[in-house]
Amino acid sequence: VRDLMMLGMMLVLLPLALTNTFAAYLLWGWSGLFAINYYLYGFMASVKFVFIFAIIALVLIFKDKNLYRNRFKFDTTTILFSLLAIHGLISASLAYSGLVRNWELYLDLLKTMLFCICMSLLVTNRLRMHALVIILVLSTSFHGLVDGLKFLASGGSHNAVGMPKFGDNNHIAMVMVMILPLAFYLYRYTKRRIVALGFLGLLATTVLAVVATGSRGGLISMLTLSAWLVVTGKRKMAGIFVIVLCSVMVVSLAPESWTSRMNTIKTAEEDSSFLGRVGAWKVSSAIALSNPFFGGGFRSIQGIEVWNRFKDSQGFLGFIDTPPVMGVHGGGKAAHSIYFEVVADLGFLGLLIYLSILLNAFVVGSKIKRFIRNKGDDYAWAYDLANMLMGSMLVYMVGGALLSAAYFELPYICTMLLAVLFRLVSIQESKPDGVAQLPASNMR
Amino acid sequence: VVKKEHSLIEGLLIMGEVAAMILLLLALRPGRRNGGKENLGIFSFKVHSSDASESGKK
Repeated sequence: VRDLMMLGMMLVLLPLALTNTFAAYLLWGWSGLFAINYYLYGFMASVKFVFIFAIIALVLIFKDKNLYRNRFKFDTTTILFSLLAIHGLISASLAYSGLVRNWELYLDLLKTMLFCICMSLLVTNRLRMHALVIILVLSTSFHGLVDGLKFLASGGSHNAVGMPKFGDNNHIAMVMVMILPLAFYLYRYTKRRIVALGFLGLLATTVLAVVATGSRGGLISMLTLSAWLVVTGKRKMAGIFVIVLCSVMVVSLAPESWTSRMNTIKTAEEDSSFLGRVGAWKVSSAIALSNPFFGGGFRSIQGIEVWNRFKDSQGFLGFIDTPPVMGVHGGGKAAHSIYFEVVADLGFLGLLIYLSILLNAFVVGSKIKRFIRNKGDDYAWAYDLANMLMGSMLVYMVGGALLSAAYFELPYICTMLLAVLFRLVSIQESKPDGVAQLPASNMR
Repeated sequence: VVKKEHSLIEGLLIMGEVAAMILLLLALRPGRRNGGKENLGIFSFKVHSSDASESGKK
């Protein structure tokens, strides 16, 4: 039944995509993050929704020469993205043999870059930016909604185990926390009360979903986000009050097993799970030292031959004592950190580009905030959106320090959103009527 | 291995999600009803966070 209904929905979505470039672009982003195939079990489960919408969007974009000729502009973000794409290509080409996911991950990264570059062509005003934020929140927090409701219905005993699209419970917890600031932005800026409350409901169930994952990284991510919101928010005391209230609610709802697991954060240095991660970092750094410029290729640490060659190496972390690292099922082990993942896969040069992208998000965000400070309420939305996007990026940088999630699309999308927001705000400033809109031959 | 859980409620939530997406895309179509301009329909935004002034039309 679910598949038949989805087929019916596709018959509505496809014409919408075919007649409007921006609609096709939104569907591309939405289907990628929603991962609908995971929820379908029949004949529709094998349909490549993302591929279909991406192709439609790209064909419509390339059909309109004026669109990409007039609107495409190189800025720091697009240059850094292009550099990462080129660097990734070289790394994948020079990779160790036997890396099962080498080209798959590179192509995923390339698709993300393409999606972000198209954003600068199509997101030309506040309305479109708002629409893009809506689809990001709708698609990503849907998983939070499902797990959050299951957690409530089961009286706190439901365990969110993750999903193939994002990874295990720790990965999905980080993704959920990353989307919270954007859901909060939509709650504040949605005009219809009932829809705004809907976004608040999504936010609340997503928080519960993070608890349901039982992820310690998820808790650290939530604390990081809370600290960011309190430090950067205008009403600090109100922020602290809300956070304390939510914490009390979460702790009272969460099962005892969750509380005892979170308490193990205090003894991380004795925890075998944590020490295993440090062991994986040693192997990653050893791969990087052997291949300083281009690394060992995507997911090199998980290649059996690469793992066997470097598993006893200390890399540049020899000063930390760890027990011998064990691979999984005779193969390698995950890098367990976005930074060590990148340094092993793409070398120090790749890490430099990657860190520049992350840092650039904060530079652009700070520029937006500085640019519109004291400019009145007309710009408040841009200030708040920049702040929320920076909060998401901070969660990624902190939460990702213990996860292999370097090529996940959401942080790149947030970075590009900041770059596009900066363009919009700069243009709004130069327009006397205050209506932000990028130059365009037409508004497809 | 991730266990797939069938449930009626999950199915309804999926359809709700897709329906929300359709509503958003329908509103975005520049039609005669909204003066040839894009609109966000029920997802319209406030100009300022503190008020309920005009939004969502450009």
